[in-house]
Amino acid sequence: MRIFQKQVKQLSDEELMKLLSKGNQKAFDEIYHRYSDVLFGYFMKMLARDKEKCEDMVHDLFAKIIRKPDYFNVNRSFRTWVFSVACNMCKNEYKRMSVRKHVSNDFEPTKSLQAESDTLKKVHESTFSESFYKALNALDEKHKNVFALRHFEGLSMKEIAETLEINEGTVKSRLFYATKTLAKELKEFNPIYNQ
Amino acid sequence: MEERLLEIFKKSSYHQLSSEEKEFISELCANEEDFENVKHLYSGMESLADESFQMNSDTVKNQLDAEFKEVHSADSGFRILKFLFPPIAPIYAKPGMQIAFLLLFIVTIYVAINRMPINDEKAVLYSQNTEQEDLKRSEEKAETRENKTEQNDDKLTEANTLIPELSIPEDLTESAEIISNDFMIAEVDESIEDVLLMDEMVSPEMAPTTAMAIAGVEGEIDNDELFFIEPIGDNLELLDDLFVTF
Repeated sequence: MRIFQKQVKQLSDEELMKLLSKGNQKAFDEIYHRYSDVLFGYFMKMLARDKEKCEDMVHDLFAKIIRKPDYFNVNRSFRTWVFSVACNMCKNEYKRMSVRKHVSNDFEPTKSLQAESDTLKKVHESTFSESFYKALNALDEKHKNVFALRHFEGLSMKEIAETLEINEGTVKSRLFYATKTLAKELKEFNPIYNQ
Repeated sequence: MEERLLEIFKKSSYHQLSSEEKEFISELCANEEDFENVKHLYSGMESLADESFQMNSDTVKNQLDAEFKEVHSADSGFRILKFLFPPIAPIYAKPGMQIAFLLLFIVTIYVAINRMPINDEKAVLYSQNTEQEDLKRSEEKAETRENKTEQNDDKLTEANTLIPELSIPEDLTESAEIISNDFMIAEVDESIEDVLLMDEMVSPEMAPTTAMAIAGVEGEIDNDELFFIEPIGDNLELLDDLFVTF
């Protein structure tokens, strides 16, 4: 049994997916072990750290892998494929959230009250981490995706291009735009300006 | 490229950068302020990189394991069963269930149609039967008539052979009238029979009376036995008594 476990651990993601599609439980366990935390972290960063929602997203993604393993093209990198699926799930979630936002806008309090609550929030969001994720989530979806995949998941420019099915040049320009915007938003945390 | 960019931001201040390095980062930072902002961002992100997320949810893994077993348990069994009853599909979308409901629907309709009371069924069948019976009768009658005509023809041929020897009776005109009248009656009877047959087809209740009527007519013919006409060519005198009535 131990020998088999060793063998499974030595296999690549793509080989594990082949075994998984044939109903190998060990292969599924290994894939889950390799990617569950990574994907959970990705969803946490992309979806404003809503733990329950992120767990649901991870569940849905692995359920897709179980039900439709044939969707994965063995010639393609599993890592880029799984992140492209995660990206699309995030996009759908943003759409749902925007719909809810539009619906709930009718019941929102007046602007003055909102501004007051924003200042209160700012007091609480003193740490860099919270402000960073807030600024990241305020970014456009496409820029946020590129930035998260590059800096959090460590994907190369080429892999990001494959994942999002865009040119490498577009990846580069989106990454620069996201970096510049975030840097501008978070300049208040720079000790040079606070002195 | 990205690595070089990070290296530049790690070790240098904006004033220490060479012109080549400044050109390299010009797309990202146009001035010193931008450079400092980006540098601070990268250093802050390094601290965030240590932040790791762990999903310690056994419920998610257990649910996925159950789902995995459900999907792949059918692999060891019959493939047709897996096709008919896929484990993930909802019950109404399983082809096996759909086929079962379709069969049930067809059987229900078949049984319902068979049990449905139809009042006109007997009448329809009766009329159909009488039609067939009438056809048989008419065929039988036609046969009997043919037989009779054959017999008559035989008699006529016999009579023809005897004509020269026979003496023409004086009341030939009367007998000719009688014969012709009988022949006309026979023709009328035939037409009556047709009408009666038509009546029978329309109303089956009339069938017995029609049959009786036909039997009566036939009886008359049998009794008379005068169903032959002498050929005129042999007895031209017969034409003498004929005259135009119109």
